[in-house]
Amino acid sequence: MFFLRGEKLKIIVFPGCMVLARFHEYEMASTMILKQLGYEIIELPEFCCCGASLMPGVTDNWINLSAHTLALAEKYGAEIVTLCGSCTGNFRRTNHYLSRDPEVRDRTRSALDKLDLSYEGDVKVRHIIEVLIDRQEDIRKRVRRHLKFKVAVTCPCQILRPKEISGTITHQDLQIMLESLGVQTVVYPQQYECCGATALLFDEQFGIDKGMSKLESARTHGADVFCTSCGNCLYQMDRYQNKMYQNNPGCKIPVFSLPQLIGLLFGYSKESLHLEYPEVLNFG
Amino acid sequence: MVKNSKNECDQCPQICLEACMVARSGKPSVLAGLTADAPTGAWHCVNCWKCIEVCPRDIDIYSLMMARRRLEDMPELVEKSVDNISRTGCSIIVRGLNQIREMYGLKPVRLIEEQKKKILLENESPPSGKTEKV
Ligand code: SF4
Ligand code: SF4
Repeated sequence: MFFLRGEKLKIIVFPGCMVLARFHEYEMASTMILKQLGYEIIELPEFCCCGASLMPGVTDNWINLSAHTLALAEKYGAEIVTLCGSCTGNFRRTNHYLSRDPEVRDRTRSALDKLDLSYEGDVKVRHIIEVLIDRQEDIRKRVRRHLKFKVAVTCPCQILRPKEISGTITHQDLQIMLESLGVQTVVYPQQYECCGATALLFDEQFGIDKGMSKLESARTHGADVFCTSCGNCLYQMDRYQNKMYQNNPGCKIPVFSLPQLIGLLFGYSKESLHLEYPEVLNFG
Repeated sequence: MVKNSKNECDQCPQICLEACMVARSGKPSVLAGLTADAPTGAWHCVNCWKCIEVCPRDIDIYSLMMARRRLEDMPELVEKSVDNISRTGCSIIVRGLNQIREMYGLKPVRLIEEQKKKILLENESPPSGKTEKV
């Protein structure tokens, strides 16, 4: 099913600008877990933003940026695995537009042509949450450790919506998978709310309030750890906690990405996963 | 989204506004300007796409809000990202990135070549003043 004629499945792990710049521990854990699951990771010869910071609200050419990365993936015979909700949505939107709009296709084709690239439009794009959910049986075989802490999980909005370009998973699938791997998860009222990270760009306080209210919802419903797998969510939920809890640092909650959490299940040390929370990681 | 362009927003009970965290908080949401003649914050959007999910008329909200964005000034931080992309191909600039990556055991990255990025971004006559930068 996954491995054709004994070949490993080739993937490009696309971190996106935010993860590339700020969440090395997440990128590292992702490559570790994906390698352990047997994927062959192809390095992108050059990185370019997926266009999510532009979108058509800035220029119609946003699509050329994502098409460039998709064209490279096609050239190397690789799928793309994204680590960020925005990138996932943007690459899929690119595929969607290119397959339906001849005008967009012609314009993008002529830009890629000048770089000696071409793109047929068929590169599969999945977010790492979707990949890990697909591979949960293989993950289960490798679980070596029981985690005592309780986890609040969330999925990036853009891997779930809009339905025309989203994958197949639902919001609950991640939680169901983690429970089946023996991770204790909590149900919390704001589980399906957006973390509000993008609001940090136009109204910082509004963004902080949204993120904090989601974190508080998780914490007051029993979560010891918050788990999210998106550059923007991580920026909001992890890095902004200093501001959120500046008067109440005791209320801060550790934030792990899904690959780091899976890494703990596999038995990796907290040092190798770059996790710095000794209290919840006291495995005894 | 390329959708049936005949669909028209009939300002149904404005379910999109109910789904929008920005509108619910009392701030001007980009949706307010799409569904009624109301003041709009074209960039006041967290890209959660809940509006698109709930709209019963299947309105192409995405394209409409993107068109709105071109009419209003970008927030400063968005402008900064756009500027970073046009200069480096990445929306965030980190000095010494590859040294930091090495500490995490990650392979070095090379950002897209100047000339290539230019070709990808320059290939059209920009539809509004906003795009001159990129
Ligand atoms: S965009 Fe859709 S949900 Fe919003 S008011 Fe119009 S018809 Fe209703
Ligand atoms: S995508 Fe933007 S406009 Fe739509 S519901 Fe979310 S924040 Fe509101």
